[in-house]
Amino acid sequence: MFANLQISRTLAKNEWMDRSAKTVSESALHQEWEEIRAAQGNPALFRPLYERYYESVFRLIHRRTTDMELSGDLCSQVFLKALQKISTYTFQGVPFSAWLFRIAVNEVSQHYRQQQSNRVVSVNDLHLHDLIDEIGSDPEEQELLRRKMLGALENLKADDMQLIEMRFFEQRSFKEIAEILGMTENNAKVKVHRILERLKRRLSGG
Amino acid sequence: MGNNYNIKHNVPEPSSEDIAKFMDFDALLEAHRKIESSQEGGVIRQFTSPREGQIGPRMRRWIVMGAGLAAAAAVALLLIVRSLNDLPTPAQSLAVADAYFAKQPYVNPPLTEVVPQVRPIKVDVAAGATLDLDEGTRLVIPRTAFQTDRGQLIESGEVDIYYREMHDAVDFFVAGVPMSYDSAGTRHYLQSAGMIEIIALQNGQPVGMAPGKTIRIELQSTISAQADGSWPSFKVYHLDAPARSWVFYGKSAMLFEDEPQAVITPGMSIEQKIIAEKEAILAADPMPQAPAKPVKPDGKSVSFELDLKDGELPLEPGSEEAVASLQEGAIWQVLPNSPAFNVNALNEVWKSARLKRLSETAYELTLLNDGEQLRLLVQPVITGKEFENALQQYDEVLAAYQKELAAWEKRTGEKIAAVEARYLKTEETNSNPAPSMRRVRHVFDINAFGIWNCDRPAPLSSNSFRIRVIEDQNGNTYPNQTAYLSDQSGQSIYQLHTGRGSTVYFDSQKEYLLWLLTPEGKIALVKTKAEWAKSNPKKGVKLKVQTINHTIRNEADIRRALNPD
Repeated sequence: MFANLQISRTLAKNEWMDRSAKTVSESALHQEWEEIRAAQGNPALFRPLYERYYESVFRLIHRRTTDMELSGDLCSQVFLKALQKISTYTFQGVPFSAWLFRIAVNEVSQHYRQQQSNRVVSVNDLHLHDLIDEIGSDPEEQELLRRKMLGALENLKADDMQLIEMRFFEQRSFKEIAEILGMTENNAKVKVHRILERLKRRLSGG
Repeated sequence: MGNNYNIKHNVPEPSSEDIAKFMDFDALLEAHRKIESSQEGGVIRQFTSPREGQIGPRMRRWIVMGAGLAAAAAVALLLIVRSLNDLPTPAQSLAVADAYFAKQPYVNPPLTEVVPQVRPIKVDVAAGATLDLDEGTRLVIPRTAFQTDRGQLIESGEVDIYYREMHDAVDFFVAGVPMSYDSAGTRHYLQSAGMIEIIALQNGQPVGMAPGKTIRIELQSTISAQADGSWPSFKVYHLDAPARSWVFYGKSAMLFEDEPQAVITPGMSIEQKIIAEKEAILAADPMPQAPAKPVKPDGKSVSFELDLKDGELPLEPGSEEAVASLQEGAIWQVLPNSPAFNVNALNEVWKSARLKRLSETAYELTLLNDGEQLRLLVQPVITGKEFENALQQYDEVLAAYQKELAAWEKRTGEKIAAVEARYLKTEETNSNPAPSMRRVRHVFDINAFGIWNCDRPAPLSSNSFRIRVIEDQNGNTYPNQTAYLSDQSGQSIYQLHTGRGSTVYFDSQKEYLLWLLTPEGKIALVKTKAEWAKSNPKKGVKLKVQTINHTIRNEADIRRALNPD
């Protein structure tokens, strides 16, 4: 059952990969830092950063809301906050996108806190369905397994769900997850490993 | 179980175009400047002394408030004007559409006068039947497969089978069958490779299928290759009309009926094209199979005599081919991997048998009695002098096989060499377009009568537009009824509500036909336009439909109306 998660990740890879989530080269990071410094001096020069990252920030929010209008509103808030705080931004060797994603994740959390409603988590069910097909021939059994997994996910803590979501449903690297959530890469790996162990126990426990 | 999250399944990713509609850097900059200036304004006021100006702080506050109120009033007025023109929110429109469809019958043929004519097929209940239909489909009906609506097994007499197939959007439209499918709360639509409706009557009364019995459906249809040249696989769903849903039943096996052809896609290298053509040649003309060498009983396994060729034991439909492959004089030896059984069962009297060939030497033999069955995995073996005869015959067959194998090697070798020579002549050729259609047979067993669909669920497209109004050339509008949407493949049909703000999901790269029925029973239609995907979601699209001036009397009229070219 644990192995299924790995297969699921492979299957879902292309669909959920953000264009901006790929590794950014050292030179690109420095070039981007120049753009950030320019924007710190003149907000109108924030435009290239806005245009480069708008779509990936929107997609991150949309996966957590599935509502276009709401995603548009929250995305505007994210960039407004980014523009207001850009003067305090300092270069720390991580992509600017990680900083924006962190603001976006916080903005989404704040929205759900204010609404007092359950946060949306987008799961690719077709791949999950095919994945379960692979391990069992009895459709009823597959449905049971699927329900168990969903039940186990429902019980995850918010921070744990954030990690599972980024790693498995959004196919982000540990490096990027660490950058967004402000932790070390090794810490991200250990945390994900522990969450998977817990999920595995819950699934096998029935 | 906790319920900490709202897990949504298969939410379509918005397109880049859809996202771009929300981008507005100038507005962002303006908002930023306003915040900055309001903060700066606070600072300036602190440094403004009443003695330096003619307006004191109290008066200035009133002026600022007055200006603010005027601005707020202007904004409010603008918002009111805008909201009058704006569509309801997508959630509001969806609620209206859901309420509308909840009042409609789930299976809702829109034109009751266009009833497909279905002729009954008579089946002898006691014998069962294998029916090869005009559509190319085969139905294998087992013996005593029916029961009355009170659950009594029907053992004799005839049953009338009513069967029809639906293969394209017009068929689905006429049948009024919904193609949407909710999986864990997420809406998909079913792309069908063929749909059937089957019912049975005895003396005019509906009958059901007996418990444990299934009818084998071998549904013939044509399928299209996917974008990467591969062939899709399909699943089987049963329509549960009272529950208003499709129910997943299982996978169908897909057998290719026509000769396999190479699938050549534009991006392939020459080497890949050659491999694809080689594979097609070998698939069309497979290597001859070596004959099975006669086998003696091993002396340890259970063996028994049962001659299925003499006709003493009736055979279940579908056994004919396996029985024809049996050698004369063979007896049966139970294979080590056969399910455990009581040897005394072989001495019982069985009413019928079913035989299925599993491999060159292995068979599945099922002995049947009233409500009882014995399933064995067996191998034909030959004893005594007959073994020597069989061995001699085998030598002859083997010699023929070796000759046939040599001829096959020569034949296919020449074909492959010709393919290689053809590709070597030119660096790159696009002169062999991919044969993108194949005739196939979907094989699945059904355990109930009703509507069955061989299909695959697809998520709704990420492109969409919202309906502002649907209006025809005479100025008539259609604000509260069902419209139908189908792409050129015709594999599916999407039913939608025509209300203000209804969302229409479509792939802007494809052309779709959207149509509805006017109160006069005519078809009004419009072809979708790619630019609708970029329309403002708050304003929507005004759809100008063209009412076709044909009277719809039958299915052909519908096809003519929907294909005016």
